[in-house]
Amino acid sequence: MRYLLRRFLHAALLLAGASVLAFLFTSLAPGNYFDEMRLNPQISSETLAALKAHYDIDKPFAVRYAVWLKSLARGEMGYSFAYNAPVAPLLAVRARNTLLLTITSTLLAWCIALPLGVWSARYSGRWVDRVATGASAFLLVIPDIALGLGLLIFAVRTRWLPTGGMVSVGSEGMPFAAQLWDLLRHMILPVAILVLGAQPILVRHVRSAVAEAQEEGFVRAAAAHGIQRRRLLWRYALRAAANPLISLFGFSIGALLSGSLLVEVITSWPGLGPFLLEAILARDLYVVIGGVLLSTVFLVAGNFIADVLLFWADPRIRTE
Amino acid sequence: MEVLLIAENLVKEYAPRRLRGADARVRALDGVSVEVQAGARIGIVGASGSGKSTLALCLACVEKPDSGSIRFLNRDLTQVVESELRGIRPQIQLVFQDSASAFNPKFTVGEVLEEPWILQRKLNAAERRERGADLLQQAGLPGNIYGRTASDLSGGQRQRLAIARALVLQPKVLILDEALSALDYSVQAQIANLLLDLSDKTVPATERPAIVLISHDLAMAARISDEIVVMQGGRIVERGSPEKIVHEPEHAATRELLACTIGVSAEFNQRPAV
Amino acid sequence: MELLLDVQNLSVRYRPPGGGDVFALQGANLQIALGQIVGVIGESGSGKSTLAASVLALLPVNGRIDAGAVVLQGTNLLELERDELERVRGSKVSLIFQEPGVALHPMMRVGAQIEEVLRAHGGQSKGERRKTVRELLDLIFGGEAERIYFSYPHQLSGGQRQRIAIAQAIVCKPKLLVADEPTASLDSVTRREIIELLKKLQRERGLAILLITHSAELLEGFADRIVVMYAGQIVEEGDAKRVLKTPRHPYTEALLKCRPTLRGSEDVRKHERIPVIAGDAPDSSARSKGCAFESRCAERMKICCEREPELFEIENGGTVRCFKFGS
Repeated sequence: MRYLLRRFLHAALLLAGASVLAFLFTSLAPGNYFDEMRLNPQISSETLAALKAHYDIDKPFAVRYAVWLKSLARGEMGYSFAYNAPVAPLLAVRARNTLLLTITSTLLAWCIALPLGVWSARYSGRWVDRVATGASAFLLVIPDIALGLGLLIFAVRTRWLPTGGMVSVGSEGMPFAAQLWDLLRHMILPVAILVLGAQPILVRHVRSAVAEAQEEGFVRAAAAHGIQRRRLLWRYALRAAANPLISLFGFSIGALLSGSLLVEVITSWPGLGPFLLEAILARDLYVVIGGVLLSTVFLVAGNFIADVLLFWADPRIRTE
Repeated sequence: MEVLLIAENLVKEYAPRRLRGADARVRALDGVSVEVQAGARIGIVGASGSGKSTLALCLACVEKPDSGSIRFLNRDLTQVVESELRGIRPQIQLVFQDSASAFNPKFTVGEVLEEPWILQRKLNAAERRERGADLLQQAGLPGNIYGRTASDLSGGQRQRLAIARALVLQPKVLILDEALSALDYSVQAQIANLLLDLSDKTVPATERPAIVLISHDLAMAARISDEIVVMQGGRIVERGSPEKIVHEPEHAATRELLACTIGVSAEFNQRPAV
Repeated sequence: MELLLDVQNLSVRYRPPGGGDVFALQGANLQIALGQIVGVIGESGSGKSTLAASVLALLPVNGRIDAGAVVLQGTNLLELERDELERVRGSKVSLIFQEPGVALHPMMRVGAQIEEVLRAHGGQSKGERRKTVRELLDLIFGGEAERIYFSYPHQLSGGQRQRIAIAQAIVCKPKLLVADEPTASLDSVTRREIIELLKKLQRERGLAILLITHSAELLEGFADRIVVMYAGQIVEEGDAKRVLKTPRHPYTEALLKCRPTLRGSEDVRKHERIPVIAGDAPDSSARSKGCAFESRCAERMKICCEREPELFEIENGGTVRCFKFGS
């Protein structure tokens, strides 16, 4: 228990530190949102000055940070210059879209990688393993962008799948079931790209962790007691392979918000990635900071969840 | 006889991985005092958990006791700074039970031996090689294994290498923590003879280390040592010469150890040594 | 006497991926009767662990059976299919290893691990399995059984872990227990406790035991017969008391002398060098023409490097592989 509390405190401190750094670095970047406006001759310098004062642009770092913290407490996370609205709701919508994609693809990727990896380890050296390893290597070599564009071209050519966006035009008017189906159809392409991109690494890790566990003394001893091979694989070897795999799973969770930027851009998925990109280019300060912080939350949470799972799975950590 | 190492009232506690409901902290050492003189051969015996390994680690300055003092040549090791300790450590060497994990498996025998000299920046390459070959011979290893990888050696050869490496910087004290226990008996006999040869009275004093053998094997300890120290539950429960310990044991722990060691009955006919 | 295990002319070879076959076992013959305790004495490279693994047909991937049979109550285990073997292992014959810490799954409670063996051999419900295991733990651990049932391996001492391994091995009531150096990693006091446990099991359950060890003294007062192995061959076999008291083969003799023993009124013989066997353990990939022990033997004769000796019979039903006793 104390162990978990310590990890939690650790995570909280990490977040606080991350927020300061995010703030600092974005502030250090030259320019601000209003620089664009300065170039516009229709906006007078007084208006500009008033706007700047209103948004505390020129105040010292500490003051701005304090104001932002207050805004955080209110649940707003600052104000977007471009959208003229509080940041939080903007990020929420985008984050939800991204999570829809990434949670689905992460779950799918793991559900495929686990059995594939276990079978690869079980039939290590034989054709099942060679095919799986070869396919993994092939996928690993292809850059994500090539994969994405390749599948996009496939979608365009065959017209089986929508080629972008999250929902079809005019979908709000459809009945719920039809809306859902429409959404799913739009998800197929980005999810496929994400899953294919993640497969090689996951399968390799599962395979090597299980293969190593299979060599362990306790598996041999259990075999000597006549325990069936199938059980040895799933109940003994896989369980022992849990540690490294749980850490990997933590990374998967950590990347839920940040791992899909490329895919979102390619498939025009209205997620957090493109939104943040836009905000960075426009110097929409608080959106950027909010986005960075949100990603950090997931990263830290991923780590923490991994710690919790490790604690639950490995009795040796529990009794330390 | 010069006193090299004096440990007084050592205490060390651990929090073990608990069996549900068992006690929270365990006293591995509960007020242990021991003296090692130059050229001495001491056997520290006891069952598992008696604290003998912890004692070895403290004497070798690998672990620090919670309280008590360890004086080496009149310097209190528990009070000394790390940089001074670095100068003292080469004089007290430790050999473990499982030397397989003590060597980098990728190192060759030569590299293993020469490493201490390289770290201490003594001797040039030719000198190192010569001394290394000497040590191999002393330890009963054939000279042609100089280039072989440490992982290629057999268990007995590895232990000899571990002892050879321990001797590289001519330590005053050589501590062996169950260093023989994992070996076949014929190999144990050879290593035991090696230890007896290294610490023989005829060896010049500068090259003759004091030997501290930690073991649960009373028979081997009795054969090698001048003095036996029996430990139980973190304390020293009996001390004496091997003859006394074997023929007139006083403490129950000693008697139990004796009973478990004399495996072969009085009928067993052992021919006298050739 | 009814024959439980009959190892017939077993030869096993290892083919490591880098080449260089190792002839780990050469023409081994061994018989164990019901309830009998047979000790195998051997050092590293003698083939003793290969023998132990072969009795359960549990060779590693690069091991090959060159010849021979392992007949357990009429069935040759080497001819069985994998699933038939799985049924035999753990229920008719069991194996325990040297390092109990390595033989237990670190993430499962030990009680559950014993239940797994029961489950693998079928027949009982979960509740029945739990009851059986609890009773067995009561027998082995007495008062601490409850706590130990729920423990994980890393919470137990070496001796306790080995006892759990023994529990796993006997829970399905096999007729034969093969123990490969079960006490080598334990201290002398625990060692004795384990041997006492094995003695108890033999007495109360009629369990036959094949005990493989490099410590001859472990077998004293425990084994009925002793087999001595060297370089993959059996070099001596006979009644335990006889072998320990008057060993015939030069290797056995020299091996028993290596051990500093403390006996009653005998002098401790402090500081006397222990008589050692000259030379090093044999390189099991080489096969010499004559006797494998010849180069280290204090009593070698001319014939010893010309031909390989067979097992010659000596009085009282023992055998010795040495030209001193036949030709």
